[in-house]
Amino acid sequence: MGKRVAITGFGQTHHSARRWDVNGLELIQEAVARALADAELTLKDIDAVVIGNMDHFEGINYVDTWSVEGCGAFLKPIFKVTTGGTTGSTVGIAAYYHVASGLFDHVLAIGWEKNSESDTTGAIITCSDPIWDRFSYSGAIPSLAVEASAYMKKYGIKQEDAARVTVRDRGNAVKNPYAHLRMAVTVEDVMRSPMLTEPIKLLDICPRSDGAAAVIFSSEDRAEKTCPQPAWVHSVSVRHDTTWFGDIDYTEIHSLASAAKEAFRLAGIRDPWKELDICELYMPYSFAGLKWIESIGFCGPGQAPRLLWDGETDMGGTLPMNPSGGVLSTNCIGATALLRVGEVAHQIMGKADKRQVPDVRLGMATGFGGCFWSDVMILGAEKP
Amino acid sequence: MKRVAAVGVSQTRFQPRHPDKNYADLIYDVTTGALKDAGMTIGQIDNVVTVSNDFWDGRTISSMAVMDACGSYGKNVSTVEGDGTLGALYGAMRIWSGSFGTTLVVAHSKGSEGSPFLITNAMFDPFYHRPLGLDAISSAALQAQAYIDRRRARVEDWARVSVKNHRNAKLNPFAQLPMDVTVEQVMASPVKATPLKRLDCSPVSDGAAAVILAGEDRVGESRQKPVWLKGVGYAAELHYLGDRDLSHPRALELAAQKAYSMAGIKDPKEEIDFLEVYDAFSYMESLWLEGLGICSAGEGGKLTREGITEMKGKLPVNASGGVLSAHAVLVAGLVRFIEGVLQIRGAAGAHQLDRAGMGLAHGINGPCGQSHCVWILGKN
Amino acid sequence: MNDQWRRDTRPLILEGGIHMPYSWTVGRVGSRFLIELRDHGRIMGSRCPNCHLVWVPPRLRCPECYAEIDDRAWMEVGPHGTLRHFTIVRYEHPAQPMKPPFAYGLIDLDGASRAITHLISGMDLDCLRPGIRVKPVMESTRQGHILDIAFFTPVGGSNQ
Repeated sequence: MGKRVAITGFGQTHHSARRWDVNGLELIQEAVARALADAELTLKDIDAVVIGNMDHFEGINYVDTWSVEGCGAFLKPIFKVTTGGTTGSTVGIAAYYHVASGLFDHVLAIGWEKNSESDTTGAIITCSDPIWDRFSYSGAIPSLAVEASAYMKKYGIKQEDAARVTVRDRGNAVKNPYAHLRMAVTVEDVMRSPMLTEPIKLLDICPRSDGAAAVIFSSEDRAEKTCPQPAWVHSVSVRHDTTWFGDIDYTEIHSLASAAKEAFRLAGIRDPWKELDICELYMPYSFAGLKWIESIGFCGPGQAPRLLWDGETDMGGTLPMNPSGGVLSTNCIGATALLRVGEVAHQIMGKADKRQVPDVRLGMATGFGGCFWSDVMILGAEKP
Repeated sequence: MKRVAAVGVSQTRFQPRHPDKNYADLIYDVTTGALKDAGMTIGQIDNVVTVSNDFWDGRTISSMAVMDACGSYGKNVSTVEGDGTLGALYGAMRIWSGSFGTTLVVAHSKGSEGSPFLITNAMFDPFYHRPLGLDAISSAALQAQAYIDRRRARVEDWARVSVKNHRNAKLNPFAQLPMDVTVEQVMASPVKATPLKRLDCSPVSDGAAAVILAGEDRVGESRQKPVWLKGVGYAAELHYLGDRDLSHPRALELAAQKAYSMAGIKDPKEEIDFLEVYDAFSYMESLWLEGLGICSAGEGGKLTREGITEMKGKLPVNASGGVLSAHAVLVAGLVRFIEGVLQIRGAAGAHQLDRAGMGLAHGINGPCGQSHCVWILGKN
Repeated sequence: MNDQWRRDTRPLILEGGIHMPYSWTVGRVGSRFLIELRDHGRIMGSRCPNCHLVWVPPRLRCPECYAEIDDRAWMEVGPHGTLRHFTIVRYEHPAQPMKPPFAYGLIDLDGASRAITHLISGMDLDCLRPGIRVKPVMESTRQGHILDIAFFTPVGGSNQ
């Protein structure tokens, strides 16, 4: 293994449907300034920057060079990593490799998106192959609806079971001052919300947000010197297996199962449900909060609704999930997966404020992309 | 830090259009090509880094198109959206980190499938630059003019760069524009934007390239002699053209300093045997040589004039024909890296240089070389 | 395996396009700059309290040292300036605001620490030289857009 790496700072913007007050560069600056303040570092301490977002959502090409003044990257090394919905986690993972390589001591990972600036569905449709997939691909929601339908049919899952996931996350978001949607909802609210694509209703799906996240990854000796409780990176894993939408197996999210398996193995975790203290699961829609936790192995197939209804994943439960309010409460795509990483880090650092879960020693953050790609990062309070 | 080497390479022919191949086809060709070059199998590749750009491909998540073609199924994979030299860097970082023993780095671009004007216009900020209608050529013209105004560069010297590189391309089977042109022909070619004429500008090509990197404990798995990554550096300047001194490539100076320092190089023009630099326009070869410290400010043209940068010269630059002769955007930086590897291996065929123990490969990203990446590659 | 079909088949090309409208948020700082341009025909800059560089257009944070730049640190710059470099464009594309030949220039406005990029027009382009003094020509109807400045033109007309 290379050098040990820890997260020593995390900052995010106040996410909203449209941040009128700032342009993209200023949005990035808000998150960066907060991350530096959180880590008690200045830009002079930052050795390199890695940034990500989804190009067509803001219509800016070569975002790494466009964003230099936003990132504080004047005369610094910077490049862009972009992998669709998983961008936030692959940017964080890239920052980890930057430091683990031994080349840099403090690296700033930035994810951002100003979804308000474009027609998100129009932009995301262009992720499909123009000759074979584009004419039948109508955005993220319908493919998720296919997955949800298959899952419901196989295990007799009800729409109310998924609604319970929304209730949990939206309730958690009330305590997160940065979240986009901060109003709790009930199961009835979810069931009454407009149907978008059977069985996905408006309150089953994530919003579109403007927002940015910045996370500082530091080398072992710097982390120890500058941070009282760093969040150590125990493992990372990426599976971006889909090329064609027609090849996706909608009965099982293979990429998440595979990435989780590898991440647990590298981190020496044998019983994730017992050993993890929190999980920030990238869930673009509520049904994922059932199906995907089965794929990760937190419970057997079809068993997830019981965990939800028994409150096992609520704050105070066996494994609290999405204390931040999750993706259902905030979705600024290039930042979204990085927010999962930052939230787990802050929970470990004891900086999660009103949504702090007591005594977080080990946490899991996942990333997801609309083409069914998945990433996993395991963070811990102890050095690996 | 453990040592990392390039142990397999492949590139496609660069041409105005590959009408029978899409991105996945091109990536499949270079992936299998690099594996064949190394005598390795896809199972020996621990992880993959792809390089592509959503605008050039007309596709958000452009990397999705090539996920199976590059053999990344079931593996850790990521994507750099920027020059191929940066993709190679991320690939190397992942080996230096200790997490992986080998990385496959692939890059693709089909300039034929989009509008280079609109795509490069889109690299500018939407409020103050884009509405002016700037694109890669007009912005480069401003930089070329700055080079004349502030460093007294001479357009005739740049014409010599074009002559040299197109002539060198005759010995490179992958190049798109092998040509015999004279200085007079370059000077007489139609003006695109002053002071740049058509023969000062690179084409836009279709093509792909791949490199296999390995940590020192894995280089034995390749049948090729390893070419060692001795040093690397990268840095970026500010974005608005007026916020920069376009005649002074500060980011390149910083990137070069880091690369030289890592490689233990104190006097680059003595210790480096050859260079492959990103000459998207003829003036860039000269300006980048100044930024690299090969000569002082304003002296870049002199190197060409005195024949120092010719293949038979004291310090050959762009023996491959450079970007002026083949320009698949993003891929071209990885090709500079690959050309460096081929030279050091002694496998550059007709354009093989006599002295090639230590080489420099360079790439740029963003308008007017806003960002630079410098690699030092060596035999030992 | 009969590969003849590869030789017999002419590859197809699918013509298409991506039509994406955007609505970019200018932000408070940029809006104030463009509104000054629109309503008063004034070009504004802002001075970094730390490194004292005057940025045009004004920024929320200094691009070089990242210090926050206060609302009160704004000042008018120019309107005159010095032409640093220019290029005369001779190729055409519908997205260009003028028909070629036309010129772009980097202009060091009086009082600004860095140059702005804009169009140069209103004179015989062959008479352009670096170092000449230029001034903005404002559109009579303005919208809060960088092209409210139609172009820059030599001070004192084209006979310089």
